[in-house]
Amino acid sequence: MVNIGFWSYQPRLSPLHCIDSRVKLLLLTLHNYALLQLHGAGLCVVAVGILLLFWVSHIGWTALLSSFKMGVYLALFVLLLQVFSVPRDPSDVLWQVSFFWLSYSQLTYIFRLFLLLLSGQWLISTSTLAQISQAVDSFLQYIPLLRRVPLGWLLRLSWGFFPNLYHNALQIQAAQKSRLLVPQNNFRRYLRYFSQAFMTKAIKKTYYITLAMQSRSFIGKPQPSNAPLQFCDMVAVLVFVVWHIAARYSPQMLAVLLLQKQ
Amino acid sequence: MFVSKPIVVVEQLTYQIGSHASPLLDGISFRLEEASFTVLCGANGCGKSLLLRHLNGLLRPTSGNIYLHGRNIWDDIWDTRQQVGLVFQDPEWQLIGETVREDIGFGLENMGVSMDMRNEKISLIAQQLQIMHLLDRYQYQLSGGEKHLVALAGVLVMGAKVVVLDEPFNALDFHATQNLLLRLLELQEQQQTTILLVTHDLEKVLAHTNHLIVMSKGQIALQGTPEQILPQVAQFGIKVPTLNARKMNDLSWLT
Ligand SMILES: Nc1ncnc2c1ncn2[C@@H]1O[C@H](COP(=O)(O)OP(=O)(O)O)[C@@H](O)[C@H]1O
Ligand SMILES: [Mg+2]
Repeated sequence: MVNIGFWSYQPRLSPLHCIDSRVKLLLLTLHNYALLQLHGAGLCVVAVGILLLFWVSHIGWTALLSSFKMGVYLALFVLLLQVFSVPRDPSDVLWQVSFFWLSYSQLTYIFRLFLLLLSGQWLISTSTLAQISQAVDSFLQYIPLLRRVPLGWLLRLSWGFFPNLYHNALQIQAAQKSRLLVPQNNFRRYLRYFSQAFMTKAIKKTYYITLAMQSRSFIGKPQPSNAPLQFCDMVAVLVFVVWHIAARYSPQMLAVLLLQKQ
Repeated sequence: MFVSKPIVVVEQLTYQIGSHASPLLDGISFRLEEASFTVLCGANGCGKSLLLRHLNGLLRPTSGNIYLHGRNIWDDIWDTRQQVGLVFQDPEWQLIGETVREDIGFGLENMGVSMDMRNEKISLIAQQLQIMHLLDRYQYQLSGGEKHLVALAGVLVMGAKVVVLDEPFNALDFHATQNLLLRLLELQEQQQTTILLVTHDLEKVLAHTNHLIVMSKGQIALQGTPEQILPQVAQFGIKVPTLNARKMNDLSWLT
C-alpha cells in the first residue's frame, strides 16, 4: 500500500511532542514572520536550529524528504513563473540568460522557502491534528467575529479528508486496472469513468463523514483548550527567544568575531 | 417470568425518500429490553442499515417515533448519540481520525473526556480487542479487518448504553470474532448494555440471543425468540443453522 502519510503526525516520545500546541502554533507564527526578515548568516542559524528540532523530536531524516521534494517542486514552479514573466529587474542580465544561475536574492528566497516548509512540517509531525485544531480554536476565541466558527475543526476535517480522497483515487485506479481499463487504451474513456467514480466517492465521503461525526457525538462547536501551561512550555519559549535573537544578530556577531581575528 | 423494561421502543417507523416511491422502511415496530441481546437479519437491501441509522438519530423517520428510556430520541439528540453507539457497516466511511489512537478517542473528545482519561480508556479497549499494536498507525495503512476493529473500538470506548452493530463480523477472522463476542457479552453482563446486532451468520451468535428479528422488504417479517421463529426464517432468504446436529446453545463461535 502507498504511504501517503506525507506531512503527517509522527507519534514519538520526545519532550518536543509534549509542548502545548498553542505554544507551538504561536511560536511558529512568530518564527515564520522572523524568517522573512532574515538573510545569510541568520538563515543559517535558523536552519541549524530546525535540524536540531527534528533531531530532538526523533522524527527521522527520511520524513524530511517529503518537505524537500515539495520544496523543489515549489522552487521550480516559482522559478518557471519568473522565467516566463517579464523580468522585474532588466539589469539583472544573469537571470535572463539561464535560470540555473541564481542571484543571491533568489537563493535567499529559495532557502527561506525550504525553511518555512520544514518549520511547518515540524509542527505537524509533533502535534496531532486534534491538538493543532484545538490550538487554533483557542486563539480564535479571543476574536469576537470568529469565536463561534469551528475553524480548527474544519481544518482537521479537511486535513483528514484529502489524504482519504487521494487514497480513494488510487483505489479507483486499481479497480479500473483490474477490469482492464488503462489510460493508454482509451484516455477519454478512462478519464470519464475515473472522474465519474471519483466525484461519486467524494460526495459520498462528505456525506458519510458528517454522519460518522454526528454518530459519535460531534456537535460542531469549537473546542478551545484552557489548560494551564507547563514548565516545559516556558522552557520552549525561552529557547525560542534565545534562538531567534542569535539568528537576528548573527551577522553582527559574525562581524565582531572576524574583526577580533584580524 | 420477570417483566423487564424496554429501553428502546420503535413505533410504526416509516422512512421514504421522495413522495412517489414506495417507503424503504414501512411500519416498523419493535422494542429492545434493557441488557438484552437482539439479532436482526434479513436479505440484502431489505433496509437493515437504514433502520439502524434511525436509532442513533442520523436519519429522521418520515413518520413514527423512536423512544429511548421512554423519551423521544429527538428531544435530546445529543444525549441520544451518547447513549446509542452505532458501528457502521463499512468502516471505510466511519473512521475520522488521522491515526488509530486519534480515531478511537474521537467520540470521547466530543464528550469532553480529559486527555489522561481518554488515553486510559483507549488503551483498555485496544487491549480487549487486541489492537494495541495498531494504535499509532495511520488509518489508511490498515487492512479491512483491522479497520473494522478500530471502528468497533471507537464506538465501544464511548460506553453507550445501547450498542448497535451493522454486520460486525463481516471482515473479522475467527479470533477477532470471538474477541468481539466476548467483549459484547461482557458489556451486556457487567454494564447492562443493550445490544442490537445485524448479521447473516446466525450460527455465530444465536446461542447468546433471546430475541431475533427478521426483516424483509422494509418490513418486519418475524420476531420472537429463536426457538419460536427459527423454523420459518428460511423463507426470507436466511441460512438456517443445521440444528439437528447441535443444540441451540451450541450455536456460537465461542464454543
Ligand atoms: N440514499 C438512498 N436513496 C435511495 N435508496 C436508498 C438509499 N439508501 C439506501 N437505499 C435503498 O434502501 C434499501 C435498504 O438499504 P440498506 O438498509 O442499506 O440495506 P441492508 O438491509 O442490506 O443494510 C436498499 O434497497 C437501498 O438500495
Ligand atoms: Mg446493510
